[in-house]
Amino acid sequence: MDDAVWITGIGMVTPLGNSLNNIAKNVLAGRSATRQVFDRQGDNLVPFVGAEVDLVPVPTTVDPISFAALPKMQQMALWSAATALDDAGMRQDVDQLRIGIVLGQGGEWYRQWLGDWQRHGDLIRHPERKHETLVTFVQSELGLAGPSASVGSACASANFALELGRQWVRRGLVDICLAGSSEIACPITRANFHNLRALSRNLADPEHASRPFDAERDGFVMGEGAAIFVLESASSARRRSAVCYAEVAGFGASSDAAHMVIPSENPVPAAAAMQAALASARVEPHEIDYVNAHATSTTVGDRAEARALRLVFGSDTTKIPVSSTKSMTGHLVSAAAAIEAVICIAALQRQAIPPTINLDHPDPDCDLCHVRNQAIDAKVRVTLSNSFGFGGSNTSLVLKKVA
Amino acid sequence: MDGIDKDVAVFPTESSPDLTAIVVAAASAAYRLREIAPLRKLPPAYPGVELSGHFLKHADEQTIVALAAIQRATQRYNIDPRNLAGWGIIAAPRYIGRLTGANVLYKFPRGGTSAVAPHIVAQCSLHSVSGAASIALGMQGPNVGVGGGEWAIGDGVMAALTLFEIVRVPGVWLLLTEFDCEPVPDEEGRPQNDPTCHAVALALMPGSAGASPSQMPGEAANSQLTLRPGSHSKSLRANYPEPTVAEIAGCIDAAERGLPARWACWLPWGGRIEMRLAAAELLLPQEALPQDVLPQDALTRAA
Repeated sequence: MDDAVWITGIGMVTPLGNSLNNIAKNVLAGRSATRQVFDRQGDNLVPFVGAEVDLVPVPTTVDPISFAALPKMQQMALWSAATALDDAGMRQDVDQLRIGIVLGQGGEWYRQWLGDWQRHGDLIRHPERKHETLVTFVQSELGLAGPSASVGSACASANFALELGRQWVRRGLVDICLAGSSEIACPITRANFHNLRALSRNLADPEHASRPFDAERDGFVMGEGAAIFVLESASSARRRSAVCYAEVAGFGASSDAAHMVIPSENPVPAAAAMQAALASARVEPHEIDYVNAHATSTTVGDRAEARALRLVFGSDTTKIPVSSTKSMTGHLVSAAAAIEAVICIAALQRQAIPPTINLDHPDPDCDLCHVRNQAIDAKVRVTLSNSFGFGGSNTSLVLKKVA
Repeated sequence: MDGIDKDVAVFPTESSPDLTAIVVAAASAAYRLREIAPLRKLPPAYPGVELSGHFLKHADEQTIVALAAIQRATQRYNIDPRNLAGWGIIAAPRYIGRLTGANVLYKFPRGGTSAVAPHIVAQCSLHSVSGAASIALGMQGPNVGVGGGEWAIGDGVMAALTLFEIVRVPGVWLLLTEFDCEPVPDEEGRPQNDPTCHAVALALMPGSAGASPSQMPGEAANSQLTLRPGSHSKSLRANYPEPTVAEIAGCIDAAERGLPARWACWLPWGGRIEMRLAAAELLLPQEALPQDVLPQDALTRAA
């Protein structure tokens, strides 16, 4: 198809590894990255369950000392964008190409203001001072000359970023586009979710705290990381014999229009997003080989998604494998869809489906074709990845294996 | 206001056609910070949408003013949002959540986790304005926030004009919001100044890519929002002045006074946004708005 858009480069930093190979190996082995972490609150260190990145590698051509001084969010985004361009073999072409960048974002400002405040800054009270967005930072560091945008639909942000990037490539607005997201586990965000009673409090057994679809779940675990993709037209990628990880084949989005925080009990809007994604990818529901579910490990969210999946897949629900890899990575919030796209690519590449770990007692209200606790080998040609967010945003992304 | 210059003809390159939308309704709202608190008790009321009286209690100021701008547009053009249930919403706020954030930074080191209100992520993030608007209007098309900082207007326009391709929505509400000078919070997050929060609501329908005004239907040809993609030459990355929401509101005000109005700005990467508005009475009437909405079709099938 002439207007097909391929992923020809990936850069990532995650609690389960900083390369596609490492992430694939770890998720297919069912390894958990969740552990006890601590947030500094005044003079106290307060324990939570989290899945965090310990050390962000330094990209080549970046001065290690200045890199070390950057906030972690910027480090993760810069590493991921630079390695994605390297991976696509395009770093040296930056001057010749119109390269766009779209990053999924959430609470960019309160995170930036908090980070500044933790470094004894006072940026929040000085609006006249420069507030650089993550996107413009990466753009400037890598010398990218194309259009840029931050997009935010909470936990669905990165799916929107991938789709916006795809459309920019299709419309010829850019030669290639970097798209993805970077997310840190900000203490204020964590406190916010804790006070909503959305976080797991299972400090005694943190590796088993994230349990999507399990009857004994008690909330989600916040993760952090980044994944950024190079999106390129299939014709351009073919011309230069580029490696293709997957085709970004379809996208759908809708809104619950119900509540700012709580997912709607009505499965129809979320189902509509999935159906729109399938329609735009020109695939029938039964052609989906793997669903990477949004399921975060909250009762209301997991059940709402299960209802929507049953609505879309009907009698095929019992045959189409579903897993939530947040059981291993934690929930990367605005970067969740980006890391889950990486995992879908791993499934396409390895012809294996990662499991939902800690799924010991499936919630009877989440009656799906679960891949429980152990990866399975399978023919995987088309994947569907759901990401839903605050503000009632529902998104679904279809990736296809390119022969 | 920046006029439409002759040198636009330099752009775009052949490979990147213009993106154009028809502006079918436009309105603006502006409130001083101290005027916003009373609005929290007056959530918008649209037929068929049940909102709690507390809907705006924790909303960011930019959300509240954006909803006021939509309300002006729906009233002025007699638009019933129920007929636009499948439309998308793109909102481009700027530095959302500064006052709430300052208050959290004051309380957090003293009170820890329990001092953080559980609303900050939902109400002070990039998605918050679009999410609240989708709920207030009962719209089940996609909603997404864009921009957030400098050049948010450019991000918003570009995303809105691209959204038609993404999900083939029949229309998009584009909401642009910002304070004209940012609120300056004190130690505890209380405002020390009284800036004005501006919002613009544009109801957009897809236009043909690269179409000339004469190819647009009817009088709507005179009301368009266009993105002209620029050259990728780095030498063209100039320090253009950043556009403001107040400038666009000024253009809308001119149209409301019965004057044809235009506004344009360059983007840092070489693209250009141009908006022409016909005199307000020439914008498309409610009956001309598309009633068939793709997501609704999907919903019906799903049900």
